[in-house]
Amino acid sequence: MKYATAYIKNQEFTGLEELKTAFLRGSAFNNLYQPYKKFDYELSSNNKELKNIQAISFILLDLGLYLDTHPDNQDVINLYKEFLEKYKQLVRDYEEEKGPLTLRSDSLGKYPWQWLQEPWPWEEGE
Amino acid sequence: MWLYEKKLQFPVNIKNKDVSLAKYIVTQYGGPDGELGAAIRYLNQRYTMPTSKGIALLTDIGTEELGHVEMIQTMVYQLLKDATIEELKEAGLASHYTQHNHAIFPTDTNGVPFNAGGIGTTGDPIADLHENLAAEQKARATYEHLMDLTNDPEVLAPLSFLRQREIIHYQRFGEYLTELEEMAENS
Repeated sequence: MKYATAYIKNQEFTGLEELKTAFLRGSAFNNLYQPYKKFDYELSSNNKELKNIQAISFILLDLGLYLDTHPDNQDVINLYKEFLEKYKQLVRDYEEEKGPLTLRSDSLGKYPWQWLQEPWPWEEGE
Repeated sequence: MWLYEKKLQFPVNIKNKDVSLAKYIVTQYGGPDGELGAAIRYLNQRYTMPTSKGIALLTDIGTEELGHVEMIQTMVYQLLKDATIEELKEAGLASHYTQHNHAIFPTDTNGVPFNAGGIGTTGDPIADLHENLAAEQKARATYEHLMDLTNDPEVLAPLSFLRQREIIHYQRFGEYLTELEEMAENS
C-alpha cells in the first residue's frame, strides 16, 4: 500500500499521454498517473463525437491546471493553443448537427428553442 | 460567473441498478470528503489567497469539482432509478424513500445530510492549502474503498477517473504551497 507523502515535488513536464488513454485514466501526464486497480475499463458512452469533445476538454482542463502553477512553460502554452483550436472546431461541428452544448452556441438562433433538445447528460451516459 | 456545459466531464452510463452501491457512493456527493464540500471549500477559500496563481488554481479546481458533483449525482441517480420499494428496504434506504422517493439528496452513507462544517477555511493560506492536501487524500482513499465494493466496470471507470483527479489536485495544491512557503521565507 502506498501512503500519502508529506511534501510535493514540482512536476517536470515530460510530455503528454495519448489522448484516449489520458482521458480514461484521468491524467494528461504519464508521470502523475498512479493506478489503484488494474485498468482495462472502456468508456461506456456510445456518443463518439461527444466523447472526442470530452477528451479534448479534459486535456485543456488538465493543461490549464498545470499552467496555473507553471505559467512560464512555453511548450505547454503551445500545446494548450493547439488543443484549443481542435476543441473549437469539434464543438462547432457537433453543435451544428446535435444541438447546443452551452448557451453561447451558434445553434441557438434556430427555431424552436434548441436548448431543450434531449438527452440531458445524465440520461444517456453522455 | 459560470456557464453550463451540457455534458459530463467523463461519461457515466450505469445500466445495472445497484441500490446498496448508491447508498455508499452518495457520500462522495454529500459526505465529509465529498465533491460538494470540495467545490464550496475551494471556491470559498480563493478570496483570501495572496497571489493570482492561488486564486486561479482554487477557481479552476473548484469549478472542476462542480463537474464531479454532477458525475456523482448522475451515478447515484442511475443506480437508484428503477429500484423497487423492496430493494430500497433491503439496502436500508427506506428512510431515504420516505423523505426523497427516487430523488437524489446530498448525504453521507448513513443518510446524514450535507454539513458545511467540513468546509475548512481559516483565512490563513498555508493552513487552507494543508486542509486541501488532506481533503484530496481523504477523497482518494474513499474512492479506493468504493472501488473495493464493486466489480461493475461501468461504475469502476468513473470512480477510477475521479480518484486520479484527487492525485492531480493534490500535486497542484502542493506545488502552490511550496511556492508560498518559499515566499514566506524570503520576505
